[in-house]
Amino acid sequence: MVLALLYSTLLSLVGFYVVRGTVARDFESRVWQLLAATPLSRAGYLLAKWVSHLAVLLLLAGAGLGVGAVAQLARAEDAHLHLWELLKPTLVLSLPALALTATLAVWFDVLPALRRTAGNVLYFFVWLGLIMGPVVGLMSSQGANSGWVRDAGGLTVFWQSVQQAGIPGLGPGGRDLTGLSIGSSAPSGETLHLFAWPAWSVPAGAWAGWAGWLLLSGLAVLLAGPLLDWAAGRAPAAPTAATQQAGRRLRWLEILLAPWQRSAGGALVAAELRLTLRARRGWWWLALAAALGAQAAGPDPRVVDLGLLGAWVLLLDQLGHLALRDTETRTAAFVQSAVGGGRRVVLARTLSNLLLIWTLTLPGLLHLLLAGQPVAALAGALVGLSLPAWGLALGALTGSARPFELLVVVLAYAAVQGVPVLAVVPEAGFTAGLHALLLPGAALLWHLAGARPLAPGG
Amino acid sequence: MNTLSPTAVSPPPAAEPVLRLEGVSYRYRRAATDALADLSLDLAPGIVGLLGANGAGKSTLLRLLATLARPTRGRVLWRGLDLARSPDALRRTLGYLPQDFGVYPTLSAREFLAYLAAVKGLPAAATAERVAECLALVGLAEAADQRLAGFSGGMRQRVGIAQALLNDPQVLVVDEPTVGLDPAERLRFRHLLTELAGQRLVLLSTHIVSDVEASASALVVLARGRCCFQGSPSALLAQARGQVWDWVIAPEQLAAVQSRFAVSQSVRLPEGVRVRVLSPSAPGPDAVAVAPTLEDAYAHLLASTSWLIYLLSPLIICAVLGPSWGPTGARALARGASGRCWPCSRPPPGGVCRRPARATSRWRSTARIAGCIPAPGWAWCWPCFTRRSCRWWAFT
Repeated sequence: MVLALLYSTLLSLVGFYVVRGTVARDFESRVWQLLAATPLSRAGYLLAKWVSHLAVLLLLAGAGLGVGAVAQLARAEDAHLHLWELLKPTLVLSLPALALTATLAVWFDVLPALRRTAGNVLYFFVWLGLIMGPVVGLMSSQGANSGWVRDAGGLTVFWQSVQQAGIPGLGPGGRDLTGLSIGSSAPSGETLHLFAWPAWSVPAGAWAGWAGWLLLSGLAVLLAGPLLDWAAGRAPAAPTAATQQAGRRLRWLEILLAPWQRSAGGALVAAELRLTLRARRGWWWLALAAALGAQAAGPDPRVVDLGLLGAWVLLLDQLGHLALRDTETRTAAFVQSAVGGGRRVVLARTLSNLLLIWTLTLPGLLHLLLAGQPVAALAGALVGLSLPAWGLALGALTGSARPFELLVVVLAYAAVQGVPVLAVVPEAGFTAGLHALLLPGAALLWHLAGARPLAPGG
Repeated sequence: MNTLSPTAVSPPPAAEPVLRLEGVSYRYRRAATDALADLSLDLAPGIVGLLGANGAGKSTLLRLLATLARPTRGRVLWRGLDLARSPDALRRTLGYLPQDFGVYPTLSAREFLAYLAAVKGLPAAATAERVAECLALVGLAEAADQRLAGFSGGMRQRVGIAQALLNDPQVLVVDEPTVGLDPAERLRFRHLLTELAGQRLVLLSTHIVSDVEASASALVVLARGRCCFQGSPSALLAQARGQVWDWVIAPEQLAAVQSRFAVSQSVRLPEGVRVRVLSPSAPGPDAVAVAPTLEDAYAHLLASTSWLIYLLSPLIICAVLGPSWGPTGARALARGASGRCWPCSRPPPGGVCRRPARATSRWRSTARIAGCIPAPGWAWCWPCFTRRSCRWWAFT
């Protein structure tokens, strides 16, 4: 049951980032043009993608179940293994959630605006809504009895089953969700209650809901069929997909960068800044203006904090691709065949991004400084140093921007809730210390992952 | 000169070699065979045309020479320095145009070249002038300030060529540079290469023979990762002399002729089909011997060396044919002589043989050269030297 709930919740988050991208890859590599000219139907193509996503997610779940079985045999109070009881919760609770994840992975690839960082960020909030919706419903007066058809993750079914099982420690009426924790131990000061729950009888109607969610996920995938050709036409060729547009003119930027052209290093930094800023769309500049406004004129330090957070999130795609741009744009051969080319580019890219991130958070940092919160300002500056470093390190380590993007989105959400990792105001000293401590780790990771010498063989 | 042995080379080049490959092999990760196998070359200044079919190993060789990869075995020496240990020795003076490259669409051509000039470490003071020179050389002076997003494929290719010239390289490595260029641009590029050659080493990889025919002073031909020719274009032409025939045949004969001979051209005429045939002897009574073009000579070389390439690759032989050494080979040879396919020995589907039987006579002589003669007991396979019986002779 615990594994099933983990899959319903966490695997449906992480799994999305694992499986997404295959449809977009077909568009960008122009494989779609070949497929579209075959008798393969749009529906067949989409269903094949959906099934393959679901298969990968189930494979991950299966691996976890294997570990669970071993753990049951090795460490559990009851060493008897009931395979069906082990499998049942995953099939009933997790499968619909994973099917919905697979559907969303297809849709986020089909819709051009959601193919990259914006989609990665948005999915986190979609996932949050899918998880929090049922929880809020359960905590309401009618929630526990409203049936599972509104909940792909199976939390409602789980809660109904818990109530029916009469598990101790859940408070009067069995509606006290504060005692429920998935994947962590008991809150401090409270004791764990052990109870026997050897068999789970699936509540009536759950199977219907299960089939309903699977059907809904499948149908939702098919709905993307009419959009496929339109979506494929809006996919630029893969190597420069992120920056295929010529971008904006930004004359003011040229005036600012003119002095930088006098040295080779300056020219590199200037080119990096041009590459970053020219590709930005109108909505980005508007969002930045809002973030800068919050930083400069926020009436409360918490608003300033949100402004800083906004500026960092706006640079998320840039920071996530720091180590990947040369490969993604197929310019790596130019850089690597030049004496010290790789070193120069990394240095220039790091400097330009530091410059950018500090410039975009300067109003907030000054505001905090003037408001008598120098440690918070220092923490903000250190986060500005830490984010490019970790973007570089994780990109080089994983070869993908997604892990960094997911990490920052989760941390940004946590910061909004007051967790002091990216929030600089609540516990400024902690945030500053944490990032100062983490910086060498990022440098080491980047060195291990990215600073490889010329390798023999492919 | 045909150099089937990796160490055998053509007559010594006029200039002193500056780039030397000594027994270089390269195998991609998880690959079963070498992409380059025991390659030894001496490269002197001038334009060296690197020819080979797709997958022959041209791009792999150029990646090694561009210091983007290190040989799995052997050494690449630039003026005596091992590039695996001192890649910067060559990088300082290297211009490299990869086959597949990208640009930054948000930058103009001028900005992109200035960026790469800074990456190469060129002095900032001279960058603007050099960038302008290179843009002019490739005919992009007027489009210099346009964003690269709006450039056509040919214009991007010219930007790639311009970036390779930025540091006035002594070694210019260009991989399929004329892909995407229109005829006028190709002509301009050939002239540019000729201008640049002088004391430089220009390594021009292509599978378009006319590109090297027009400009190369030396040729290297790769097949299946091995060097099967290094020498001058005239030496390659000499090999094919007397082996190219112009022949007008009836249209219904075309399939049979194509199955028996290597046909490099066929043109349908009112009086029949004029074919250009590669054959050691006259393919028919009315065939006329003609002077070979470089394309004929290249096709002749590939056709005549493919068997030896097989012989030099025991792994390929045993992977493709399967090990089964036995006396049935003699029967297979007889079948081959009777017009069946080699090496599959199947009856020609629909009377058309995709593997010409003429190979059989060449195979016999090749087998003799390589020592593939019946051995007592038929117990040992050559060239893999396993005790399993080898199907090398048993084409059934």
